[in-house]
Amino acid sequence: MIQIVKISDLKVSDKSADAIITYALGSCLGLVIYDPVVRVGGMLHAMLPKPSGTGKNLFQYVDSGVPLLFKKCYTLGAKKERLRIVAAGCASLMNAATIFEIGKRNIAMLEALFKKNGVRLNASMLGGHDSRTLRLDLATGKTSVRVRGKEIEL
Amino acid sequence: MSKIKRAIRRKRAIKEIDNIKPMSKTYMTIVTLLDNPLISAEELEAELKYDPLATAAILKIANSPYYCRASGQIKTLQMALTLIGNMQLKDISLMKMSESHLKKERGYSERENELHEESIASAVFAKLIAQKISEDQNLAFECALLHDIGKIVLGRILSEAESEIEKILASGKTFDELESEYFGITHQEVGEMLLKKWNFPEEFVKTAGLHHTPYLEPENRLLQIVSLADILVMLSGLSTATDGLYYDADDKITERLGLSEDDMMQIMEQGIADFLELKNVFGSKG
Ligand SMILES: [Fe+2]
Ligand SMILES: [Fe+2]
Repeated sequence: MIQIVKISDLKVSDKSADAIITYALGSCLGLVIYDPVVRVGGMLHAMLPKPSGTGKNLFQYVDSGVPLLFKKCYTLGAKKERLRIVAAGCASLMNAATIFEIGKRNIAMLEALFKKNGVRLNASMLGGHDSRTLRLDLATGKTSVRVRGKEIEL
Repeated sequence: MSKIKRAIRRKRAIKEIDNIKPMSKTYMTIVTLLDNPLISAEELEAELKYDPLATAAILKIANSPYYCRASGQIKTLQMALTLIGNMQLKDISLMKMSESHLKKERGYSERENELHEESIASAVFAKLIAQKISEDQNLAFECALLHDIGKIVLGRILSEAESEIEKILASGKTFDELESEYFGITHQEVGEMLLKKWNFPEEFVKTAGLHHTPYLEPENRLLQIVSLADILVMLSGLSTATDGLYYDADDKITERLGLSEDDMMQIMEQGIADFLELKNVFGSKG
């Protein structure tokens, strides 16, 4: 089954027949983690680094969504030391003022979180001006990005 | 790129405008009628008599949680006028009027419905910005809804540029520069022409024509609002379209409108929530 991750959403799975997809990461962060031994994986599509107002949806933010992604995969049997971690998205507009650099702020938040927890990215396709579609196949852990009709494996 | 080729492509793009079907007459009349705050339900009903589906379609959106907290309450046009008012009904009719154009044409996306969704999102974001700075919310909503309408024309011939797109974008150009370089015309200019052809008011024509260059009319608040809404929608990532985020984000735009970074973030949070509510009544997927 194909599971679709919407904006400010998160999906995890332990079913080999599943694929998890999120469409159109703009400045949002798309994060995939996958444990190849138990074939458990998940994806987060977070819009902003952290809440500013009355944000109630924990998946909307990098600072609350990322820990939840890890926790939910651990519940399905994933182990931290076996995880392959891939990030995509965080694009920006051209000649953008800092006020619009949400992508960069999302990356910074992710890096801070990872540093604190001793976690590293295995692959990434971050920044630039493309709107990307991110896909994870649970059977193989294959993680790919699609831009303008072309698929690139990460 | 040779000048002659560009001139030929420009002509071809302009000719393509004639192949776009006109917008629904019924809805166009309704939109005009609703501009009058004293409009009565009888006058609307007389106009909608021959199009029963249109009434149902309008009421369906009026009952969405975006417009009506007690959804399902609004059963007649009379109730709609009383409960949500003529201007909101005008927004709704304009959405219905443009729906098939924005849905049937792919614009710059490979996926269905994306241009429609992006347009609805721009409208919702523009309304929030206008509300924040006490400008006309309905006008902002409406102009934002149609700001990218030019893409329905260029979208039909974009695949011709396929081999050049990667090259031009890799050279650091924005997408509107790419459009001018390849087609000799931008989706802004095409949008302007389409809206003029359909007799839309000057504000609509202008915002469509200048939405990627708001600094050309810094005093035009409506233009700044629509441009900013467009920027926030691109950042939110609602579309996988070819043009992605290949546009300049005018760095003075928030200053001109007196908005802070926190305002921006709050508008994005609220805008996405509003958009999802409104999108649901159109039954589009994803
Ligand atoms: Fe545009
Ligand atoms: Fe746009």
